[in-house]
Parts: sequence; structure tokens; C-alpha cells
Amino acid sequence: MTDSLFSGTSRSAAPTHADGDAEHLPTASKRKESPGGWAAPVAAFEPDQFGSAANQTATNTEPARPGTRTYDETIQSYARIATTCAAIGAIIAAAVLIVWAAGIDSLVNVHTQLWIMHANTALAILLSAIAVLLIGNQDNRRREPGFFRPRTRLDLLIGTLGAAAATIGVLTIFEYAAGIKLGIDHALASVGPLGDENLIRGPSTVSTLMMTAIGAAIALSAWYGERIWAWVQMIAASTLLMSLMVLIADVYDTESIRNLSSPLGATVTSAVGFGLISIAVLLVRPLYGWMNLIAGEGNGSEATRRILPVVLFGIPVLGYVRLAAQNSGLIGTEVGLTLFAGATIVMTTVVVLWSAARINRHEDLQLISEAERDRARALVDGLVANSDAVISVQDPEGRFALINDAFERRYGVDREHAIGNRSYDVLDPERAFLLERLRNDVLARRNAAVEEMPADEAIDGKDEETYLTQLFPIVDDEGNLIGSGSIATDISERKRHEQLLQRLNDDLRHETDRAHDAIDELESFAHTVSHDLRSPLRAIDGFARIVAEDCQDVLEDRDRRYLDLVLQGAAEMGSLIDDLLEFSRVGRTELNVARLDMTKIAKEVNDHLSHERQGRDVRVTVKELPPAVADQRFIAAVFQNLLANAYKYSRKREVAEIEIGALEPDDGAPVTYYVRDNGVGFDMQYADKLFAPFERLHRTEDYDGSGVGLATVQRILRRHGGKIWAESKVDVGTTMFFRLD
Amino acid sequence: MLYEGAILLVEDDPNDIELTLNAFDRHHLANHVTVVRDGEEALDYLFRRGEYADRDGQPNPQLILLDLKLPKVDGIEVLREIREHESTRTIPVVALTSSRDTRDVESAYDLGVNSYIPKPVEFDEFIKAAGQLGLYWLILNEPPST
Repeated sequence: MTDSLFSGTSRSAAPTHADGDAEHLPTASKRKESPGGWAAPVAAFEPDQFGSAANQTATNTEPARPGTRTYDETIQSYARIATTCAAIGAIIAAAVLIVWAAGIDSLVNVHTQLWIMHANTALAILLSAIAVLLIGNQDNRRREPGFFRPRTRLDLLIGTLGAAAATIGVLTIFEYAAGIKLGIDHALASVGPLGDENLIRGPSTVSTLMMTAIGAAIALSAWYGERIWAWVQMIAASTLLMSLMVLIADVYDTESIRNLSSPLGATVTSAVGFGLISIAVLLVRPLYGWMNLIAGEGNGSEATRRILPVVLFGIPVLGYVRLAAQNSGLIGTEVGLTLFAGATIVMTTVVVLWSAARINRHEDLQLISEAERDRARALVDGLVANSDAVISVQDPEGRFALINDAFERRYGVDREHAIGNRSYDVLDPERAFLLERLRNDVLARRNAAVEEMPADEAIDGKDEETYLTQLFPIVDDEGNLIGSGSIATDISERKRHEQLLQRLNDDLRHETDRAHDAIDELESFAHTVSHDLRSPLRAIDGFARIVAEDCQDVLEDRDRRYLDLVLQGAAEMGSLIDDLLEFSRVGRTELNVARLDMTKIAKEVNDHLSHERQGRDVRVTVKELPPAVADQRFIAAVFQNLLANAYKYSRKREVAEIEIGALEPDDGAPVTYYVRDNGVGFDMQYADKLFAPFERLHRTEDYDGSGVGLATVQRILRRHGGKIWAESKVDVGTTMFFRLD
Repeated sequence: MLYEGAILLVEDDPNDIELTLNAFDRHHLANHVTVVRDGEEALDYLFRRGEYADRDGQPNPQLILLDLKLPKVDGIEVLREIREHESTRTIPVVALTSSRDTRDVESAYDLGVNSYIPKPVEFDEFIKAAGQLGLYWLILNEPPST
């Protein structure tokens, strides 16, 4: 017998051989891949490669089973029926053995011999039943088939049990054929009180044949494993047929046909027992051998499952009806035969038609779902093929099973060449190494989700491109690893932008740093300069003052006036330095913001300016001012500057009027504060020059000042998010407005 | 009772020294003032080191006028040492600032001076600072004469 003859039919057989025949694929993976799932536009996906590889690596995992759960359950229910039948058979055999051993007179005698099986038969049935139970309890794990080399101790035990049953049968046959009394048939029976061997006959020929056949079948299955199951099932089917015939004969006519010496002669119990064992053997491995035709998933199997029971049981029933009718004299033999034939035709035709209808409906549904699947697959295929992403799938051994167009373009490889080959054969060594390293990493962690690989440190580097590669394991429904996928996306553009952005950022930071450095330098320069300028200024001022005092009486008027001018110049320079220092400080000092009582600040500042009022008639009005949120020192400086100006430019008025107030808009807009004087005013066409540093609208000899004050004020207000502006009319007065936002 | 060296002036600018001494001289206080020209000399003087090693029998000054910007050892460092040493810790230190600029004043107070006088040192300012520090002896013993 050859492998392919029998195992080749096992479309959904679980175990597979290392020789990797495509037909031995685990069903799940095969069903997933064999329809050419990745096929048409993408790549020639070759399921056998992938599948056999999966088999090799999945050695320690459950073989894949047919996908649908209900079908799975069906298969399991077959196995359950098998073990139940075996168990019942074992119980019957055991009971019979007890009866024999106890030698219960009323049960075992010449008359009951037709009913109660022989002790040897019972022993053979018991041994076979235990063997089948052991097979059923064996896990389904695939094993390497060995030649005369049982794989496990359990196999050895099963084989021994089967062989023992067969041996009993063979010895009995030999005894009958050779006419030699080996005493085997009495070995057990003689133990009981019915020791008279003349009264007890041996097991019937049919029972002997059956025990030999079934025992041998079981023993063979243990040795050869799955490959032999077609034959095992054939034998079991034969014994089942024999059992049925014995039973049918018994039902039809107990008197004339059934005789222990006739070809069909056997006890009812042994027929039942062998029948049960046969069914058990047939069903215990429903996916093996040709039982797969019945238990399988296909439509043919479904039809078989519908028709077979009717044929097996319906025809005998019809036969019995015919016989009963004939025996009762209701109908004659010819009529009976005719009716029997007609009824058989009708019954089988109805069953066949019914099953055909069911199958057709199934196929319709199947066609629909297949069309849907094809459509879904076409969508996915289109997606993969047209994707700009570089996509590849490798089997667990690392052979490419799928690559898309983008992959071909990127690596300059040919699909025909790539499929079925490993990275090192397809890609340049450096890339292959990086890819494999990452792949091994992902596979080692198996269910680790998605691995991100920045392509610039991985498979990139050759050209200017950067790819982001994701690698991930692919597993089937059962969790078996069936491959790994890789999707690499071109992020070169993004990377370039990032780099550009980074560079711009760096530049900007550099510039900012430089600007800060420059400002700091300027600040410290201004500070140093103002301090260093002060030192000689102190000398000029101090010594001039001493001379002025000491030589008061000696000096000519003109000289004294010159000395006064020296002192005045020194004073001006001092205040200029102060103003500059203040102006530069406004730009850098941190704002210390608080809620301020503006009225109070304005009044305090005005009080400090008392020297401005000396010898003058000045009327200062400070109105109620709304509070503001700002830095107190700076706001005081604002009032200080504005008020000083108001005093200064109203100096020539007989009665100077200064007013500090605020305009509060109804709509919630910010408050506008103002300082108004009735001084000389200025021409509004020069208003834009008012706030520029060192710009002056009046001659210094008329009105002293550095021209920095209002620039400082503007700087302060801008830092507060506010602003300042002015309204003025020559010889009428000026109003300075400011706002803090 | 004022004695020679009761006031220690730490100042490097000769003009400022001259002006300060002039101001004190007008009130006949100049001979109570000892002048040192930089931070190192100030520390030598205070801790009787170097050329001041034999400054025995002379008590420590009762007031130090300290310019914060000094060559060699900076005024800030001088101040730190004064505050660290047991013998000098309690001597009042008045900072000499180059302006009334708040930044100068604040940084001086931050460093732990007792008061400040903007330069040039005017006698009125000095009296005011001395008064703030409770050094009334300076005024009582030598009433300002004009």
C-alpha cells in the first residue's frame, strides 16, 4: 500500500507528513491560502511552500482543524459516539465473561448458546473495546509515522491488545481447520461448572473471523498510524456488515437460517458486540482514511451522511415488512418481491432527491459567500498591489511568499526571483541582515504586536530615502505562526522636512542666543559705560564745586558764570546718563505685576515733584483714577515723566493748570488715563517724533531734557501691552493719553 | 570717642578719595579716616596682615566706607570676609554706590551692607547714614562746623 493512495484522500486530515505533499496541509492554513488569496496582481503565492513550512515549524502545536466551530463539534461528536460504542461493547463483553466465569447454570446452557456469546469471543471484544477506548483517549497530536515502530507506550499497548484479540481468533481458526483440539475454546468455559466440553461448543466461525479481523486492524493501526486507517476502516466496515447480516438473519428467521453452523451463524450478543466495536473503529478517527468521505466537510460527505443511514437501515426494515407480510399469508412471494423492489426504489429516490435539494441550496449559499470572498480578496489584492508602501510576507522559514510592486521597485528585485527565496538570496547582504535581525526579533516574541523600525537605521541608507518599517508576526485562528509581514512606508519627505525644520530651529536658536548675547552685552556695556562716565563726571562736578566755593570771592563774574556752566553741564550729563540707564533697564527688567491704586501713585509722584512748584502758581488736580494691573515702579516712572513734562512746559504760564484723570468707556474697553497741561503745546505734525529717543520738539535752552523720557514711557507701556499718544495745540496745552491693556 | 582710623575708606579712584577727604576735611574729620586702595589692602588692614602686620594696639575701625567696585579683591568679596570673621562681623559697612540707581542700591543691600551713600560722598549724606546706623558719636563728638 502506498501513502498517497489513502492519505491522499484526506482532504482535511489533521496530521501531515514531513514529505510535504500538498494534500497533507493542515486544513486551516490550506483553506486560507489555497484559494490563491494573495494571488493575481500581487504575487504567485505558493501555498505548498508556505504550508509545508508551517508544518515543519508547528511540530509542537495542535494540527489545524477545520475552521467552523460547528463542524469541529461534529467531528468531536463522532469521536464521542465511537468511545460510547466501545464502552457499551466492553460492558456487554465483561458481563458475558462474568456470567461464564460464574457459570450460572440457568444462563449458560445448550439453549442459551444461541444468545450468549462464547467466552473467548467476549474476551476478544473486551480487548478490542479497551484498545479503541485508548485510541479515542489518545490526543490527536500528529506523530511521525514509524515502520513497525510504535511511537508511544500507549501505541504499544493498543497494538498488543489488538494483537491478543487477533491471536485468539487465529488460534481458533487453526484449531477448526486442522481439526486439532488445542482446548483454547474451552480455556475459559471449562472453568465454570459447565465443564462438560461436549455440551459447550466453540465460538462460531463468523465470530472467529470477526475477532481476528478487528483485532488485526487495531494492531495494524497502532503500528502504522494514520496511513493504515483506510484499511482499518475497510476491515471495520466488513465486520460491521457481517454483524448486521447476522442480526438481520436473526430478525428475519431465527429458525431456519440462523444456525450456529451456518455461514451466518453467530450469537446475537457477539453480533451486537462486534457491531459496536466496528462502529467505534470507524468513527474514532473520522478524519482519517475514507471515513473522511462521510465525516468530511464537502457536499459529497453531506450527501453520504444523509443517504447511508437510509440504505443501511431502511432496506432491512422493508425486507422485514415484506417477509412478515408473506409469512402471514397476506401476499405471495412474487408480489412481496415486487413491492419490496418498488418500495426500495421509492425510498432511495426520495432520500437522494432530498439530499440533492439540500446540497444545491448549500452550494448556492456557498457560491454567494465565495463571490463575496472573491470580492473582498480583490479589494485587498488591489490595495496591496497599488500601495506605495513596500509590502512583503515571509513564511516562518524566511522565504518570501508575497511581495508587491513597490517592493520590486524599491529593491530592484524580480518577483519570480524573490518568491520562495530568502532575504539573503534576494536583497543585498546588509539589508538582508537588518531585515532578518528584526524579523527574528519579532518572531521570537511571537505575539508582540507591531515592531517599528526606523528605516534609516535599518534597511535604509543606500540612497537618500528613509523608510519606516513595521514587522509583525502573522498567526492563524489557532494562534499558529504562519509567517511574518513587513510594511515599509516612505517617510523620506517627512524626514527631510523634519531635518529642515530641525536645522531652521537650530539656526533660530542660534540667532536667538546671539541676539540675547548681544542684548546682554549691550546692557552690561550700557551699565559699565554709565558707571565709567560717572567717575570723571564726579571729578568735574566735585572739584568745580570746591573751586566755586573756595574761590567765591576771588573769581571774576565772568569766570564764575563759566564755572556755573561747567557745573550745569555736569548736571545735565548726569541726568542724561540716568535717563539712558533707565531707558535700557525698562527693556530687560521683569515685570512685577500687581493691582495698583493709580490715584495714590499719581498723588505720591506729584508730591515728590514739589520742587517744580516752588515759586510758581500751579493748580494740580488729581481725579479719581480706576485701578490698574501693572508694575508699580514702572507706572510711577510713567507718571513721573508725564508730570515732569507738564510742569516743565507750563512753566511760562502765570497760572499753570495740570489735571490727571481717566476716561472709562462704557463698553468695557480699557481705561484711558491722561495728564493734561495748559503749557506751550506743540505742532501735531511732529507728534510722531515725540516718542523717539533723543528727539526733541523744543530748544534745549528753552526747555531742558534729554529726549529720552517719553521714549522710556512708551517702552514701559508697550511692555504692559498698552500704548501712549498725545493731543496738543500750540500755546493751548498738551494732553498725554495712555492705556494699559 | 573717635580715634585715628575710626573710619576706613576703601576706594580706588583717586578723585573720589580726594573729594571724600575734602568733604571730611571741611568738618575736621579727615584725620579719623584711613584710606586703603583696594580689596586686598583692606583685608590686610583689617586682619593685620602684610604691611599692616604690626598694626598692634590699634582697634578695628568703627565704620567702613566700601566702594563695591575694586581692583584685585572685589568689594563684594571684602564684604563677605568681613562678615565671616568674628573680629570684624559687627563693624557697620556703608556701600559707596556710583548712583542712586535702584539696581546699585538693591545689589548693595543684597550683599549685606548696613547702608549706602551715592558718590561723591557728601558730608550730609554721611551724617545721615551714620545716624541711621546709630553712630551718633560721630555727630556728637564732632559737631559739623562750617
